[in-house]
Amino acid sequence: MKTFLKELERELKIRFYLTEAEGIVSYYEEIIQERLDNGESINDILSDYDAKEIAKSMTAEVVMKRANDTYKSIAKSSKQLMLFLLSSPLLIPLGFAYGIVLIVCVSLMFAFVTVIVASMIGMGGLFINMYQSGLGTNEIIGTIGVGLMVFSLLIIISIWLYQAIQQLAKKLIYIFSKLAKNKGERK
Amino acid sequence: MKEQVKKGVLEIFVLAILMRSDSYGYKIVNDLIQYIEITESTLYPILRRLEKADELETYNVLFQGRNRKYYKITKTGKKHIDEFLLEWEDIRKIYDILMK
Repeated sequence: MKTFLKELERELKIRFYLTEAEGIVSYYEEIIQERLDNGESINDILSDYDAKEIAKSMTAEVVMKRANDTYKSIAKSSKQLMLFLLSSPLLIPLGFAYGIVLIVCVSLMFAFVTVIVASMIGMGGLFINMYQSGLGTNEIIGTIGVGLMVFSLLIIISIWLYQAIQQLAKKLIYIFSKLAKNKGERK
Repeated sequence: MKEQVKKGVLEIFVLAILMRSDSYGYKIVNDLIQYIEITESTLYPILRRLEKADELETYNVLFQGRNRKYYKITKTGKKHIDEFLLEWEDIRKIYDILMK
C-alpha cells in the first residue's frame, strides 16, 4: 500500500500543489484502509487503481477549482492544463486550441508593453530634441505637461491591462478545464 | 443511466445519503453502488466540489487508531436538494402537459 501511495503522491506532485496532492493521497489511503478492514486483499484493491490515471483524471477538476489569483498560480495552472490536454489523445485538439489562444493573448500583451516602452523612449527623445533646438521655456514646460499626462494615461492603461489579462487567463483556465472535463466524462 | 443525466444527479444522491446520516468516503460509495455505478475516483471530485460550494462540511473521527473523514450535509446542501426536487417536479409537470 505504501508503495502505491508513494507513487500516487509522486504523480500528483508533478501536477498539483502539495496540499492538493496530500488531500487526494489521504482520501485514497483511507479508502484502501477501509477496504482492507472489510477483508479485501491488498492485491485486489491495488489492481483497481492506477496512480497515473488517478492523477490525470483529477487534473481538470483540480485546476478548474483553484483560486488562480496570482500570476504565479495562473502560470502554473496554465502549464499543467496544457500538459494534461496534450498528454490525452482525445484532448490534443483542445490543447492546440488552448495553446493558440494563449499565444494570441501573450502576443497582444507583448505588443502593448512594446508600445508603452517605445512611447516613453520617444518622449524622452522629444524632450532632448526640444532642449537642443533652443525652444522657449513655455513651449518646453507645455510639452512636458502633455508628456506627463500621456505617461499617466499609459500607466493607468497598463494597470487595467494587467488586471484584464489576469482575469482573461483565469477565465481561459476555467473554460478549457471544463471543456476537458466534459470531454473526458463523455469518453 | 445516461452519462449526462448521471452527472447531474450524482451530487444529489451523495447529498441524499448524507441526509440520512453523516458518512465517510468508503461507505458513501458502498451505499450508492447498489443503485448507481460509481467508483472512489468518481466520488472524490464530487465531495470536493460539494465541500467548496459549502454544501457539506467535514470532520475527523479517530477509528481503530486512524482518522476517518466524515462528511456532513449543510443547510446549503439541503437547499440544493430541495431546489433540485422542485425542478424535477416542474419537468414532470411540463412533460405531462405535453403528453395530454
